[in-house]
Amino acid sequence: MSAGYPSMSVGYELVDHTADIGVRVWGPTAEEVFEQAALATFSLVCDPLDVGELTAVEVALEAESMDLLLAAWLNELLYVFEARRLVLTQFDIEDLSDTSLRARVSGEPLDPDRHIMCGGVKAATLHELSLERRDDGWEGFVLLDV
Amino acid sequence: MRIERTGEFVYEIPPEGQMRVPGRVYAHASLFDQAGHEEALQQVANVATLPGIVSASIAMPDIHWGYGFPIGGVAAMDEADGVVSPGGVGFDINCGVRLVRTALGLEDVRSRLEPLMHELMRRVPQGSGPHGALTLKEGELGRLAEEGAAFLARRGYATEDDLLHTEEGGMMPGADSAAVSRRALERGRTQVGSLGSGNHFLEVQVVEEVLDERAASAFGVGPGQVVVMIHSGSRGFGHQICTDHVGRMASAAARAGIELPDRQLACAPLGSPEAREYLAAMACACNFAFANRQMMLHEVRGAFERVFRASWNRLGVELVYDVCHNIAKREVHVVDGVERAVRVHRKGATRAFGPGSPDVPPDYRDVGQPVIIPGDMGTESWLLAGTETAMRETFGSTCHGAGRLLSRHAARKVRSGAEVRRELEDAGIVVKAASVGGLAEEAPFAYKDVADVVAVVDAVGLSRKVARMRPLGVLKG
Repeated sequence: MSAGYPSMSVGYELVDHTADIGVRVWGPTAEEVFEQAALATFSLVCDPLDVGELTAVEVALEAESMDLLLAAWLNELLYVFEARRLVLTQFDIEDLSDTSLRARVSGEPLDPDRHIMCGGVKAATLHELSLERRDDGWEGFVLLDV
Repeated sequence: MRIERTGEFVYEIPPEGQMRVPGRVYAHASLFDQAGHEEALQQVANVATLPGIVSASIAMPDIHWGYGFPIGGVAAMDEADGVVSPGGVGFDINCGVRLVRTALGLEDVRSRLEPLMHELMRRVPQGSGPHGALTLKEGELGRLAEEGAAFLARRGYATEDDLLHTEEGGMMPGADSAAVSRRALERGRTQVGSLGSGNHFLEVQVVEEVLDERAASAFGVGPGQVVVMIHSGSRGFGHQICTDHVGRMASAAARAGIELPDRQLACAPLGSPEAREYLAAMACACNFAFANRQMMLHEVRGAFERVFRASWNRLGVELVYDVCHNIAKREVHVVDGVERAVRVHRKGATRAFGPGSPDVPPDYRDVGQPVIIPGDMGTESWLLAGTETAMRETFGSTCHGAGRLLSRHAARKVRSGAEVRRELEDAGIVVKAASVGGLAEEAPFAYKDVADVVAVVDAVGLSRKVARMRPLGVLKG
């Protein structure tokens, strides 16, 4: 491990749960944790083609606490996927507080003939939902209904 | 948590802590070897803490660890002082199953199975992306959501007989599209007539065994007959409605001073504005799901007509019945000798009304309501009938399926989707799937044996075995 290796890496892990899928996410900042949770969720929705131009959508959300905001964020992205038919690949959190979020997300238009669908995600649940600040960064957990 | 065995297949969790009533689990002893069973039983106990719960927090033999409620959970809440919980219905509101009979036998279908499955795949979109079979104009979805399958009848996509043989007549009362968010309408507009992803499927099956000839004859099924089973729900429309309301209910529960052991149990007192709005929107999602499965039946009829070159009437492609297994309904049940109006939450559980119930269609009333139990992909499915015992013990409810054993991730590690496809094909089953990986997640080894689940509900009398079906072709979401 090099000297420049950060004390807390960025990433996500899919966790077994009988009927659903848990997502554990971590990163140095809360923004990165939100972005990782989005990547984890879309890894279960659809594989991107990575060709052509991306379409951007602005997202603005409010919730009573930051962990509820994390669940609301993932549910908002699932809405954008289905209603706008965009396979989202880029997630830029522009502003994040304990109770509000503003982000710009981008993706490629869904082409049912070419995109390879994964199992799909119905929604992010509040069961065992958590988001915590630790000494060296942030860690969260969201259970997805799949 | 204490668990007492009170019968061969019955376990009680005596009230402790905040529990208002006991938990009661109908299960095979092997439940206690199952991964995640402790969490699932804890969820039974958690549901028992909800205000207004009547008699017991009940779970069926296909119980497994869910979010908030266990999957396989049944809870009746008093209409006067109880609550409604969107988590007790789930994100896929009115996920359900319909069984369609045909006048064709195994020999008629065997040689045409590949073209039939191809035609079904072409007509019934699978996976989470594609448009459904019905395209609605702006503004039409609100009416469909209020009228359900009846909306389709006026367009020539459903018959009166189809409506009669759908739970609630295919139209859940109390639906008000004004309670549905713009987001839900946007998601749902292109999805009517689509299978969706996850464990949803459409199967062509053959009736392999009849165990109750009188009921089978009333339901119009017999040995060797080809039938079609459709398992799907309310798609993104229902998911969005649940999402919208869980958030609102978390605040409502806090205001009503309800302590929740799990935030996904968020609920509101029946009669509160939050509860009224949720129930009006939930009824819309129920109607969406009825219409969704009806539209797929219409496409199934089209596929049979094209492949067998005769009208669907002549081919006898008729609806046996359509049941919901994720729903909260107002029903009147006799509790300790007194009639009580309750809101019955069925989360992965099926209504199983017994003989004589006015809610069972007249042609089935003597034998009880048909209960349709989809098995895991590639093994078997069951047709059961509702009973008096279910009316007395479980608010007229029974199991809903095989019940998961392995997580999706664990299932993928056992075998790849391609291997699962090969095994099914070796067994003579034609497989069409939107996602090959999804095949592994839904493989038979990921589920409890549906025969064991059905054996328990039959043994304790919550429903009666009528017929067993084996798959010939699988169309997987």
